[in-house]
Amino acid sequence: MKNYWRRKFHLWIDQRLVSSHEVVLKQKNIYILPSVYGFLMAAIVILVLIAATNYQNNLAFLTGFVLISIGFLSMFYTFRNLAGLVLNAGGCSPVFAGETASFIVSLSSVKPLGHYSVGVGTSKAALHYFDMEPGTEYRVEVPQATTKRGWLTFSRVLCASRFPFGTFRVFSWQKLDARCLVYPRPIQPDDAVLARVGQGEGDSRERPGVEDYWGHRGYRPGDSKRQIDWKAYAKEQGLHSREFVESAGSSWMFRLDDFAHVDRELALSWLCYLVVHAERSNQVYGLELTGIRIDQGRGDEHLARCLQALALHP
Amino acid sequence: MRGYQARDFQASPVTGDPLLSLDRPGVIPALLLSQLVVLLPLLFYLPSWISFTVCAVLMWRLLAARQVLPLPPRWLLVLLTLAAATAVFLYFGTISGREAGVSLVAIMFSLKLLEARHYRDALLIISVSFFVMVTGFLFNQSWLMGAYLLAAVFVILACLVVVNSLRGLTGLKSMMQMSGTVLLLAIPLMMVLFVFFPRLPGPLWRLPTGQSAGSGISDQIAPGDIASLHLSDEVAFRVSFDDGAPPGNGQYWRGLVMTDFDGLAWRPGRDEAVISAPPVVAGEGLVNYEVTLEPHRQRWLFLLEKPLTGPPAARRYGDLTWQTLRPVREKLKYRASSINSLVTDPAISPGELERNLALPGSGNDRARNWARDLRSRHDNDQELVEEILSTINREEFYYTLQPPVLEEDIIDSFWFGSRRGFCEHYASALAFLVRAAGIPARLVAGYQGGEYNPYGDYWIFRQSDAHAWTEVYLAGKGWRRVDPTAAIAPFRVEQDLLTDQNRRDHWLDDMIGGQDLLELPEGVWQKLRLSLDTIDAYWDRWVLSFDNETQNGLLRALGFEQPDLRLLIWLMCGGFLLVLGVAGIGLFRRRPEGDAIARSYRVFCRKLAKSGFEKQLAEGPADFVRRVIAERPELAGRIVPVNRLYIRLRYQTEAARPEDIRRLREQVRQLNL
Repeated sequence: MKNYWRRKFHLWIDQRLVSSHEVVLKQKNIYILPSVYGFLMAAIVILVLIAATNYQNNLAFLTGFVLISIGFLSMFYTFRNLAGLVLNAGGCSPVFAGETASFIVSLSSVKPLGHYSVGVGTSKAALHYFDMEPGTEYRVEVPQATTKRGWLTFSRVLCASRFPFGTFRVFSWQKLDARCLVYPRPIQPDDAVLARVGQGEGDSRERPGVEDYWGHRGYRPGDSKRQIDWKAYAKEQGLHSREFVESAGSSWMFRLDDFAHVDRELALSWLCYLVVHAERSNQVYGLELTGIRIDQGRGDEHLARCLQALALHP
Repeated sequence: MRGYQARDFQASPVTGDPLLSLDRPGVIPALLLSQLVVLLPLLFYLPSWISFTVCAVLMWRLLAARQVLPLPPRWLLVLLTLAAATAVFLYFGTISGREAGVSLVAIMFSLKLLEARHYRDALLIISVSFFVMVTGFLFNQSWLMGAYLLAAVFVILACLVVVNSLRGLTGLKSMMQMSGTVLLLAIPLMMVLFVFFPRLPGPLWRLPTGQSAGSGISDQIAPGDIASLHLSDEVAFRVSFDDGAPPGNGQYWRGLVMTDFDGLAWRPGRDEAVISAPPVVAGEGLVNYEVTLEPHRQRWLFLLEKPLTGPPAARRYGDLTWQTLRPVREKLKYRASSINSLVTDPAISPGELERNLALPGSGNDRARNWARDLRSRHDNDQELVEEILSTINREEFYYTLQPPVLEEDIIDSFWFGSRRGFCEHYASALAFLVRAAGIPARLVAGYQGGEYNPYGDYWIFRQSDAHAWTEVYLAGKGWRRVDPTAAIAPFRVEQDLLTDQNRRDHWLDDMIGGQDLLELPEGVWQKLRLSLDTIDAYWDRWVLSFDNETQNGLLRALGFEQPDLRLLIWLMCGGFLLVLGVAGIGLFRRRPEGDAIARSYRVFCRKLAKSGFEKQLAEGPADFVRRVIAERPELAGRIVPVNRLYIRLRYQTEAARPEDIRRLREQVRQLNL
């Protein structure tokens, strides 16, 4: 029953919400409901008023009335704690499918007031609470699970608070305009598969992945930062790059067509593994997907380009 | 696969709702505090073992929070709860009376914190604490308790903020500020509700209340039994006269008329007739007044002598006394009027005549003979009575609060023997003698004297003002008051009883060991006491005795002809929403901090303007101060730092920090040119 209404509410709110890069929480998009504790307080107040009537006890009446007044005022206070909060969608670094994407949400305020014990998250059960003093900002990483490659849009964000009196729950669902690139889940292909890798263009059939240290050579622009021998640099011996045995000769061209016999997603996962591994082993590699060809290269940028192509492959 | 992560990812520390745990700093102490605050007033009224148990349980929780003691396991808690309930039952013999019920609530409430582990327990404790607070009002409803209520609500709210706050106790100051402002805003709302909330008359159900003997006037007068009369300063009732007190010294307030004398004690007559018609009215001097009667658990009301009208809810008896239908258990406020020159129908029924002449069959023979002898010398009833009074005045009759105990023929032994006593002795002797002489007489118990409180313009009658006098029936004239105590020669009144002043200023000396540790001008204590009594009286009038009758009266005064429930609800909701709206505007329209900087600077400029330096519009703040210093270099040390702070706050790119804004305001405020 409860879930039914929750689903209905979420459907309704999804229709209402327009995703935008920045949201200011205000009257229009904040909801306020009495909490369970608010109902408990109401019950106590009724009890007090009945007792007051029965005993004709005016001090008991005063207690009941002051509690009613505070109850209504606490609505304002709870609302004010959330109103004026500004949510800004920050970036989200790409992740591999199966990992948790974490969207950065930066929070600030248009009011000169602080916002206390506010929770931000994708659901009521997964709220990250924080205090925000007046005039300060706060950054929250909102985690979101990933299952498949491609663009992951930021789901609804819940902003909720019970501060200061717990009698009311104030909350706001927002859609922030942010997305996260999800790479395919890297899966290590077995040996039989590896045997077909790079056919045609690769000039070496060695299996990638064995990191044998070969020796130093002078630094050339374009060398990966990882190759630089920082120990030598620290000893003021100048910049040198370390060389690995395969890196000189191995170059790869991974093709989706090589794995045409298996499921597309599995093939992409294998390719993802191969690309990442090649980069780690400082090999030169390229990628050929249906309609896309990335020439051989190396480096973080190259890797990112390859992974993005894999992630967004139709 | 860990090695393939594009970057190091750290999951956010989301492990459920941190607000649901009670382990945050300050939460347990806050809960303890809110319990203590509401239990404290109860401890004065409950048996000491209950208070001790409650304190011990709270202490246990405190020690557990400091990891000195472990929390009790669940079975022990159950055992403790059952043991407490049994103990309460064994002690009181019930669990439903006021004391027993509140004792049980107090113990259960304190035990609850021992098993509190979740947020919901915390909130249950806090909401129930308000209810426990209310149980305290069953014992005491004074204005001090009202003030305590507000203080307690303030503390509990602050605790509630602590419980709902992520940081626990770190922001204590701002949390207290929050609970303070919410309480201040709640007070006007509370007042609106108090005035307009529809009040139902009468109780919904009754609970047995504990019996306690009412002091003051009892329903019989037995002069012989009393060896020492204790004078109590307790207030019996307060009176405010519509047009000032009636002239003349010593107001006599009638409460109870006693006609039956059995040789030892006087009691009210058995068959008092209820009358509805007002007595014959003649003459002038109508006095209207309002009496606030403290609960005395009796039915009789007190009215100024020669009463004309009494409260409609009470019965009027033929002897011109009024009684309520049920004993007065709560403060009672009633209006009445008396007329100085009331002339009642002088006729008296044969039955009444007989009752007011009746004497016990035997005993007190000397007194009877003495009265018969007097009768033979005086034909005129009035002269006879005056002769008795002058005997009292002439002969060795003393007024004392420590009379000897009288045995057997008490009138004889008083009139011819001890000749020492207080009002009851004299009044009953006079009534006996007059009856023995064939003139109807009766005793009246009530209050006489009273003290005027100039701060509140009302009179206070205390238990020590209780008095008894005699009424004598004179043929053709009706009942006349005769106060034999007033006839005692002043020099035979025990010295320290001569003035109220003496008596009342002595209690303090007793308290501080009879030494003059505290020498204050005479009357200071009386003034203080009267001021406090004024607060009490206003509290009574405007808070405690506010009921649906007062409410209707108020509405009529506001111009509503026929106040009904619907009107009340409209007024209540309308007034409440109006005040709530104003409060809401106040809460949401807060001036931005930037204005505070400008405001401080305006004050700064105003101060300089007073010293003759007017800031030109085109002049920047730096130039302005430079111009001032050029003329008055000695000011540089005082104004330059302020100006520098202002310029920094105004023109810096990032937002000004609140403490800097405060510092600027403080510096400007302290600036003295």
